[in-house]
Amino acid sequence: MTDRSGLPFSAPGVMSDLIHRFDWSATPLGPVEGWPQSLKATVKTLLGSRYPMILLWSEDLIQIYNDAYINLIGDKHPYALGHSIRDTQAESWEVIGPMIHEVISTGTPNWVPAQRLALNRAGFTEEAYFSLSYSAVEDDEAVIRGMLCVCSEVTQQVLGERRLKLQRDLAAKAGEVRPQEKVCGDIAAAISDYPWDVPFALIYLNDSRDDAPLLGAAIGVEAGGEAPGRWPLDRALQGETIELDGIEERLAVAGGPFQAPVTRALVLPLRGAGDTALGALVLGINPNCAFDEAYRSFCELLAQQVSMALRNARAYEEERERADALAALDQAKTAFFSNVSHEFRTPLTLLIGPLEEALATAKGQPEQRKRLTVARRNALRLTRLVNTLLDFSRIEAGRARAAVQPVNLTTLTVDLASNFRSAAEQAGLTLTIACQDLGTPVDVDPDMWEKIVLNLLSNAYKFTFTGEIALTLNRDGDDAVLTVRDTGVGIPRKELPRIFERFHRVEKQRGRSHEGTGIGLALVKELVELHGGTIEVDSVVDEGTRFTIRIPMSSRATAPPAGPTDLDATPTRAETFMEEARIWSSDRGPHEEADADPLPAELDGMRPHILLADDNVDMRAYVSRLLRARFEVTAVADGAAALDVIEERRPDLVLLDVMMPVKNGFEVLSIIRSAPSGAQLPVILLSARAGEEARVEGLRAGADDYLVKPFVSRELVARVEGAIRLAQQRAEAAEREARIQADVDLAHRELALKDSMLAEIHHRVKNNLQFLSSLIALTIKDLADPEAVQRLEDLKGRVLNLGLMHNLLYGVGETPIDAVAFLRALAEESRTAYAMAHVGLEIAADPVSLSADQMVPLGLLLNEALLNAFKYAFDDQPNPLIRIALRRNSSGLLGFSVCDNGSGFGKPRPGSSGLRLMRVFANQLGGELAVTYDKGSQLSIEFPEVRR
Amino acid sequence: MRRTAIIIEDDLLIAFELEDILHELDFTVGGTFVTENDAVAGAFSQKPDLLLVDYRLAQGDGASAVERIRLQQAARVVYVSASGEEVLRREPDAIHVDKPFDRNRIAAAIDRAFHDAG
Repeated sequence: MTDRSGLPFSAPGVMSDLIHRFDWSATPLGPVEGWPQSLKATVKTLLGSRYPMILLWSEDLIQIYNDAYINLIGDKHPYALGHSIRDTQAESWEVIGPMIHEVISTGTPNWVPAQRLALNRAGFTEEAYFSLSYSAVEDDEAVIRGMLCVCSEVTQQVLGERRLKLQRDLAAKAGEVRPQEKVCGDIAAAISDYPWDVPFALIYLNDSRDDAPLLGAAIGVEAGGEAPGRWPLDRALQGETIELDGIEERLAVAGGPFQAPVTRALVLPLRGAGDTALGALVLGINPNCAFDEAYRSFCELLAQQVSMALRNARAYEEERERADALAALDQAKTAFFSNVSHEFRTPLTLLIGPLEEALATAKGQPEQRKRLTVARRNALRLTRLVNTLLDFSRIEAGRARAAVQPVNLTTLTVDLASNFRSAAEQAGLTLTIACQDLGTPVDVDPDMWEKIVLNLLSNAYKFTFTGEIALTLNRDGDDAVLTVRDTGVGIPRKELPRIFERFHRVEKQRGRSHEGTGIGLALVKELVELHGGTIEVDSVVDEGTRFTIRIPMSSRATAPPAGPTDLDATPTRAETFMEEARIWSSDRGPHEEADADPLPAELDGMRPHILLADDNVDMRAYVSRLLRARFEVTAVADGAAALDVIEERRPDLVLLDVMMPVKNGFEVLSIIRSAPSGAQLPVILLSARAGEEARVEGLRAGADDYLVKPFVSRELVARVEGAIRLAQQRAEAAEREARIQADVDLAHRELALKDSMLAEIHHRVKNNLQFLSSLIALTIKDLADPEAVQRLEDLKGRVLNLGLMHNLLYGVGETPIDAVAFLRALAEESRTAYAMAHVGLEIAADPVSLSADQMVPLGLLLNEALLNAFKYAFDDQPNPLIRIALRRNSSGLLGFSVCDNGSGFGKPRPGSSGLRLMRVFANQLGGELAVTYDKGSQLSIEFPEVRR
Repeated sequence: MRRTAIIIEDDLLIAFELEDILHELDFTVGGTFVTENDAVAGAFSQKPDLLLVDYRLAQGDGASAVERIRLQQAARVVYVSASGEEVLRREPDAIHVDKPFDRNRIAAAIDRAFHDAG
């Protein structure tokens, strides 16, 4: 260290020495002794500061800087000292030049905050940030001669802020509750926005099983190549944080703002609730940054945040599993519900049917009828409840769809509401129906709409004792609006929010009846929503209630396609509502039942044998009794017994319950149908399972019919008779066949066998020709080239013609063949097949009979000639005509000719396949084809008649 | 509204051509069924305006299918088969197009079916 006492720059340091030793006389500044006082003072200040500083002096901008500044310019030190900054910072002159010029020329200071610089002060290229302040420096005469730049480091602030921002981003994600995969993805996305601070990161998740942790996310490296074995994950799972150096040997990743190799990584534990190990986080460390306490705690914070996000994700998944389990439970409940409802249908059949019968026979016994009517009404009511329950379980199971169709909603609604008029009048209520013409049909499912309207009216009626029930239907924009208002008891305010909840019933409500399931309004709401509509209620206790329904006039795009729905299966019977309403309203008793329709007439004096298989003893007794009047009935309790009966004594019809022990209806049906004798046996399935699917399933299994319980007696009898009649017709037809067969005596049997073989061959030939023809038709579809299409069309024509010829020959059955009749039939068939009915045909022929050997080529020849004429000859001909002649000439030869009266385009093109074919056929006949052309074309051939 | 037809035919290639013809005649084709039982179930769920029916099927036969379908619903039927005799023996008034067929005959037969049935 030089003793600098007495020298102008006495501060200790590297730069002081260098400045003293530097030969300033070789620079525009000249020797130090001659420097202006202000320059010397500035240099002194500069050398005495620990802030990095640099002074630029004179027009040449000669650089003088202090020790702290050395780090900022890297290998440009020491050359920069005493040289122009224009030389040493030539590469960035465009940016800094104008700024320096600005400061020197105007004296206005300037400022660059947080400028990133690559610093080498700790043995590695470091990412550092400096705020730079530029100010002008004057000489002793107060003339600006230079510029001083003071640098203050803000690296920690910049890094701190950046890390904080990443943590904030992560925190934002961690707060949300999402599935684990999504959380990993979100964390990865947040981290990948900060590649300088986290050059790479790997999230490993502890599997619930004992396997090695799985990679949940990889940021900054390829996910595929990451074997967990590289990282000491086990230690991290134990809760340890491990710092790894020299990782560039196993993982080549560049990082930081200067893309240096990442050499260091930190493996941190991810902790779950109660300090359980969730997994581990591997973080690459920015190689351009000191791995100091701040960086380390940043990494730890990051790990904590990732842990938190994952904890939330686990909680979410557990929640979702719980929800799934609940949904499954709910589904099971729905299925049970649905089954139980179905079970009701069988007993209902047994109630309603006999009641109707009893009513029909109880004429003149008013007391008896009264009791029976009560029973019937209640059975109908029960049916309605069961149907409503079924509707619900279908909606629950997601199987209900609104089968919307355009409906005149006004008419439908008025019709439905009018049903209530007499009940209302009996109860002394006014029923007002005010339905506006909506102007256009509305897309609704009529069955569902019926349920909506009837339920609302029935509800209003139930709770209204005086005053009126008013129903209105209006249009409001694109919506149809239905209101049902009553002056009834009203609904307490606190009950309103729960009024559409299933099974919710308003406590202590005064109504016409205490009966009720509490599901009518809930069903209405579901049905309205299936139409994309809304329902609202307002009500004042003791004043009344109003329900307002709003549905879109035209079904929205989201509405499912119209089609048969399950809800069809539970048709609403307005009568069931009415019956119920009447009994609520009146002590006069319900109106008398109309007499049941007379049962259909008996089958023509026969008593067909019917086998009934049903496991329900009541059902067996009931159905037997219904049928016994005109059928002989054998009733058994299960499928196996049914099969025994069929074996012993074949019935004329089988009625099979679907749900039976031992063998169910479907199994029995399949066994019946698999036996040759059972193919024609009529079978009707009886089932409590309503709905399209069940019916389709039954028919597909080969049932002749499918009856849904509850059925009424007339329906059952009609169906049974229909099926038996059909079977009888079939049997008669078969018998006729058999008789014909039997009529053939032994001598003819061989011939008959030959005939049937011939018939089979005939059938196969025609089927094969059809197959060929369809194949050609399908090939044509894929062709673009019109010529190729034409060729195939011609080919198809030939195949058709072969079919025609085959038919004619088969029909004739023996040779020789009457050629004239054959040619005529063929020409006419052909004319029809080519839609050429307007073309006249003249056939002139001597009586000639030919063998099939000659008839076939002649027919084919005719076909080609006709085809040609149809296609080309008659463009401008108003009266198209084709003359066909077959004459025996004096030399004993047969002359065959086909002429058209066309424009001459009918002349076959030489070399065309049609012409070639005709020549082939002519040769087969033993003749030569002649083609002449004169106002139309003429094809002719003379050939010898071959006799066998 | 477009009319719907179903095809009862066990040779799918032939069914393809029939389908094309039906499309040309502006029908919606509700499906092709190759067995008698499927055809009966199919007709029930589709409620078609027209049935094109082959006689010989993979299971059962076309005429029986038609009889069973008619227990459930009215049906316009055009038989397309190589078994004209059998069909006419079973159903003397049947509309029948012989195989191999051509489009014009099918179209004419369908017209007749709609005309006859009203």
